[in-house]
Amino acid sequence: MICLFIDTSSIDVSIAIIKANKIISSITKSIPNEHSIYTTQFIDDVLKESNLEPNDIDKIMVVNGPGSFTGVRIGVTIAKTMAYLLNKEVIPISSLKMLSLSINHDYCLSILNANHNNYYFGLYDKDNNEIIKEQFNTKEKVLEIIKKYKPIIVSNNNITIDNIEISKQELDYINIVNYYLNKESVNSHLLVPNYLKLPEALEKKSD
Amino acid sequence: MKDIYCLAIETSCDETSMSIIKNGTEEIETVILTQIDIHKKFGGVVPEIASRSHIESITIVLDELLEKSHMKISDIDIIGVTYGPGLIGSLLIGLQCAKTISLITGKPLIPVHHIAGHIYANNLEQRLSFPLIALVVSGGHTELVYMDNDYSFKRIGGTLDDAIGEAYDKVAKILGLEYPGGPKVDKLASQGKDTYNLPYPLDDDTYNFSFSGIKSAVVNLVHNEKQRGNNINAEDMCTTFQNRVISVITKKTMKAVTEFKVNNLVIAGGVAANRGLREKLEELCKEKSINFSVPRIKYCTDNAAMIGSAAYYAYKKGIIADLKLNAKATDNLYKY
Repeated sequence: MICLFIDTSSIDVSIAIIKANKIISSITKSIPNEHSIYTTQFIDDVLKESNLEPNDIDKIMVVNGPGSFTGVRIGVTIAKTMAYLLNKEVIPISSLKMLSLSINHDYCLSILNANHNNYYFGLYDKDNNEIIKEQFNTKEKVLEIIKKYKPIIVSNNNITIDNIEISKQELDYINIVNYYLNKESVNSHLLVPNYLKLPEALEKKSD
Repeated sequence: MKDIYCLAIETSCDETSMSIIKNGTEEIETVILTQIDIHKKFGGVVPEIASRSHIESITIVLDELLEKSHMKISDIDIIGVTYGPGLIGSLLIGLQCAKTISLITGKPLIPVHHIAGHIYANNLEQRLSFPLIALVVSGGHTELVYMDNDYSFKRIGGTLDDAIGEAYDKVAKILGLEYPGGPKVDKLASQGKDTYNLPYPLDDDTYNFSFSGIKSAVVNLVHNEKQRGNNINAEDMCTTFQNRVISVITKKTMKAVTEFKVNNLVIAGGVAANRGLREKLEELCKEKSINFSVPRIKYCTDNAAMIGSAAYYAYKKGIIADLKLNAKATDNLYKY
């Protein structure tokens, strides 16, 4: 089973090829605003380094959000085009859950900065079940959850919420891929980003 | 010579379109999914909503194209894609899809400038003859381009502010016509009289255009009349506006035809569908025995067929991109 992992949801682009609990090849680069340039190139690079053809991939795993709208769309467009043309399974991965899968914990709060004192977050128990569902919400709500559950807090970047410093969590590709390996794949046509947030134009409309 | 089949992708604004074009001239199949109904309620294209719609439909459009054309992805020789100008979030969906196809198939990726595409829409009707002057008029562009050969562009003028189609849509909006209002203004213009006092937009010796002044003049006039309790005659307003705009555009276009000593004029872009503009240019070209070409309506608005035609000639010229090709919201056509 050869899996291609694609993550363009944060400031990093992470591409990895995983086979039988081993990372065959991977690239992680912090390239803010250049995901559009390099993602397909990196995929080509890891395939070549692994001596694989695109068709050798069995499953495509792509982080479909939440995160940067544009960033997520880049990875998802590539993944759905590959899955459709190669007729392979594609499995969406949560950018929040994959952080909790990258660390041992009791309660884990995965949190991403969404600007203007808003955050995307989800709370997981030690078996990575979603205790508080993934959502877009305010800093106040986040602080309330931290107070109540006293979780380990992880993020995809170094952030500070009030006085709480949260450092960037490295991704554990093997654990993430193993967790998602037997999760249900989606039809490539139906694979879309999980934005967790409406476009501004629609938010104003519903006010 | 071997036939070249181009798979072309265009997602620069609110149409998700793909096409297969043979040898730059023959349309095998085109699929266009328009988002007009989605954006109508906002009175214009909302970029974030456009991006979201593109990603929902991108592989569905590709699937429909391959099915309708009875072709496989391995039958494709080159991949043409609009890399700009346009809405960046929209462009990115088509661009990433095109790059992925190139990655999988190993076939050359051809970057196509959206304006080049519009000009080459005419090549799907009849092979372009050179030298020519091209007038590109749309919701985002107003450009005069000189070409002495395939895929060789020299911009000789363009708008300094609003695109002509933008001005049409804004005039339509102030008159209460539903988005996209440009075609409705054209229709009403054929039913009214030239009665209002509107200025001629940038009526000078240059090849540049400016439409923000006449647009503001219409807005002010409508407001003033309303405040006085007078009704606006929409037909007459449209006639007057269209007369002024078309008068200047056609004058400058014909001046370019004369000065650059060409025998061919092509028009392109969404506003090339404007009947008033087509008829006037046709008449002027007839007088001067200039060959005049205007695409069918379906090739005027955004579509991938025109991108597939342009991509073929770009490819012949050796314009090939690698997987690091990026989308550009703005870019010069004329660097090639």
